[in-house]
Amino acid sequence: MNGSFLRFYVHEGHRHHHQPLWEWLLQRANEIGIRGGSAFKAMAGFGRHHALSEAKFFELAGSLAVEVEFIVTNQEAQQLLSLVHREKIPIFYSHIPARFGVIDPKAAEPPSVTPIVEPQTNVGRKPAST
Amino acid sequence: MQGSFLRFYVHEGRRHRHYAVWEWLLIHANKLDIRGGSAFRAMQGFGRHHQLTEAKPLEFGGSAVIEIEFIVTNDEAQKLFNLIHGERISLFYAQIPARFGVIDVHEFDPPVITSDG
Repeated sequence: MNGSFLRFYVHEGHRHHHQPLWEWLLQRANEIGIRGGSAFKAMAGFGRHHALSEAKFFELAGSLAVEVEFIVTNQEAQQLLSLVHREKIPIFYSHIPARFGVIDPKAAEPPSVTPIVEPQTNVGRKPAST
Repeated sequence: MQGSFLRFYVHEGRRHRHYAVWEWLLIHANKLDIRGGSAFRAMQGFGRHHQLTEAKPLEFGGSAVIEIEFIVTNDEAQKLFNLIHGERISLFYAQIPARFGVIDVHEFDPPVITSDG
């Protein structure tokens, strides 16, 4: 299936509706039926404000970067971007074309590696089943 | 070099041939001579079954999502798919086009960024 790898970068301490933003994003995405997402904590990072943060033993609580990422169809990517926009959360994202699917042991063949179709050219087309 | 960034997602507690799947995959990809791979534990995640998992230790009922990733040529990506399919492991994957290489300090110039197709 063609779609994308959609990533948001947030601070560990960034809260939304009384909840860490990374957690809120995962929960809301799950509720609207996005097929999968995960959050990863960075060891160190910097962003728009150019303050480098690092995980030390006595770490400053909530100062690290968290990546919240989703593997999605273009329609799902749009749903997620709309959700974040509607909630007025100004966060950095990156959108990367990707191909995804499940390696199905019951299928006769494994997935075959073929060139990836850019998502723009795929809009409105019925996604091929994998 | 042109190729892809290949990722697999698996639950921490899922096992294959007495190994955790993520560990089995790294060991066998290494045996296939895949050039590199790493595994990362998510803080939290959800997948096909829409159940949020959390990275608590296994003995406290945690079942983190582990993401295993490889930077590979298309041939190597196909080898990995064949390996997993051959072992009958059902796994979600995502494949992202990528260019990779080593920044060779003996070269006069650094790698050049080109707009690849």
